Amino acid sequence: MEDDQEEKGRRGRAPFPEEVARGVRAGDPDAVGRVYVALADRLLGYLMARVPDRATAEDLLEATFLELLQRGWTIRGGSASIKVWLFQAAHFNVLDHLRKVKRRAEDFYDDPHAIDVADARLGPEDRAVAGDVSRRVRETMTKLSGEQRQVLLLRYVGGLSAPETAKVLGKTDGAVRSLQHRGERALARLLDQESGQAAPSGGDEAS
Amino acid sequence: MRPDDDDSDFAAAELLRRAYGRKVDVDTAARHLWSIDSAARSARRRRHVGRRRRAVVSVLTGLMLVASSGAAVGASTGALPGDALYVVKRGTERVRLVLAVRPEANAQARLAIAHERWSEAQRAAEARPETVPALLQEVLDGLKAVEHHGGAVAERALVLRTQVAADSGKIALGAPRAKGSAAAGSEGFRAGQAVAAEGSEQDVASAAPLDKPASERAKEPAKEAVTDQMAPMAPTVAAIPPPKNASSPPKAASPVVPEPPGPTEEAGAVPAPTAAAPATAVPDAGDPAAPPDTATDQSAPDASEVTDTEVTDTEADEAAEDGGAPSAHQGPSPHPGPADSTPPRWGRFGPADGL
Repeated sequence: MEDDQEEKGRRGRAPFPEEVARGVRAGDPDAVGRVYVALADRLLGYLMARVPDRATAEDLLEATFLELLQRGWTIRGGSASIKVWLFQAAHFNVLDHLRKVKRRAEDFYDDPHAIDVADARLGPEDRAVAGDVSRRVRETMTKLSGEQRQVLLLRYVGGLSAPETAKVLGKTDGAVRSLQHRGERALARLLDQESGQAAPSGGDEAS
Repeated sequence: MRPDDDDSDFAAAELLRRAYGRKVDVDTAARHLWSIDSAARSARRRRHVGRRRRAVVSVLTGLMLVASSGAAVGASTGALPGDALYVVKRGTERVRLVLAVRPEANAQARLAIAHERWSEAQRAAEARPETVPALLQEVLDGLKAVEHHGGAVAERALVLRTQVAADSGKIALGAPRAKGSAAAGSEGFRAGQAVAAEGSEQDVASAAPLDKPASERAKEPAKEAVTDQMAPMAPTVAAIPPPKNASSPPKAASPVVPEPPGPTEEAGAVPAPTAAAPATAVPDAGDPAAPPDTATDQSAPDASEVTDTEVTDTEADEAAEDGGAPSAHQGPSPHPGPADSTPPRWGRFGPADGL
């Protein structure tokens, strides 16, 4: 049953049963726990992409779910709406955090290596992830525009559909698709450029 | 893992997933689930008891962080409220409970947890008597949650209920004489009576619909009136309704204000432990650092709390915890979406085009 839910989550449809959604709206901590089990990995991945320090990302994850517990009753709609709501809340929590630590209110830390250095509790899985290719991908991502990065992170790390991504970011579907395609092309191009040269090309800003 | 659109770039998806994908480790999940559960219980208590400043037990948050080193999960089963490892124990229970999705497995898990609370109550009677009433209440809640399930689980629940009803008086009255503990003892006694009494009552309350807004739920009359009938049996506590307010489920909202103290000395002591017991009972007292306050945050209606966030320096210095039952929904946004849920705090960032 968990596998079914995971599969449905991948396809952008119900990540958890509707009865769980009802429980969330009723403020039931067990229902919120079910949602956590279904979506916490995705949310953590997204949060860590925006706030590379793992401890901070985990705190933001907790804060986001506590908000869900307290404000879930305001959410209209079912499981899909809750998923969108969670990513919106995570997005705002990231912005709040960045503001509080008084960095530039950007989507991404300038240092693409921060995600490696700051992730002090790397386990074996994480160390594999922090491999060469992944590092280059993260570096390259910093060269995309903030909005393109956002879209790609929500779509592929968060696992949201294009319409869901649009709702999280407050954009039209068309805007999101455009950002997604441009971002993907830029990413592919920059990665190709990098692998085709001895040294990575500098600051080739994506369109 | 592909989003459901035709125009997904699978290669990009794979690369990005590998570059950023993370899994939440079990320790962290346990901690978070426990935190969610704690917050829910705090909110329920506040709704029933009304606005009240509680001494915040930030040490609990600290213990969570200390105890989440991961090594201790197996060693925690003997832990009692107040022990450092108790948090780990409760957190692990939450993980197991949440993962028990099928109704049968879920009921069994709940019953096992109720058994564990009962075991803790018996052991705590000697060492930590002030925690006993809250533990007994949790046993009661657990039993109620599974009894409607029927079958073998309900039978085993009845066995436990009988046992608790028989022994809880002993636990309560056997508590050592210390300040407040006598009243705690009588609370435990009443809670035990409530356990017995509820077993003989069809608990219709559990079927009450949960999807009313909390403000409506708060107006529903208290359904657990049975304990009022039990109170006169113990002369020293006759005047005081039992502290069911302390942690009954949200749907059976009780009067918000505890009755004024009765003529007896015993009575005078009771409202204090009503307030103190949940505060000192370690499992209930941990208010986790709530999310940072925002400009357009909903008004915290009758239950604002200052949460000590010294442990996590990334959180706001002061966070207001939403009681979860505002009677007037301000809404987090001045621009609610047309047919959409109220998104969190849109108002600060301007209206959304797509919403």
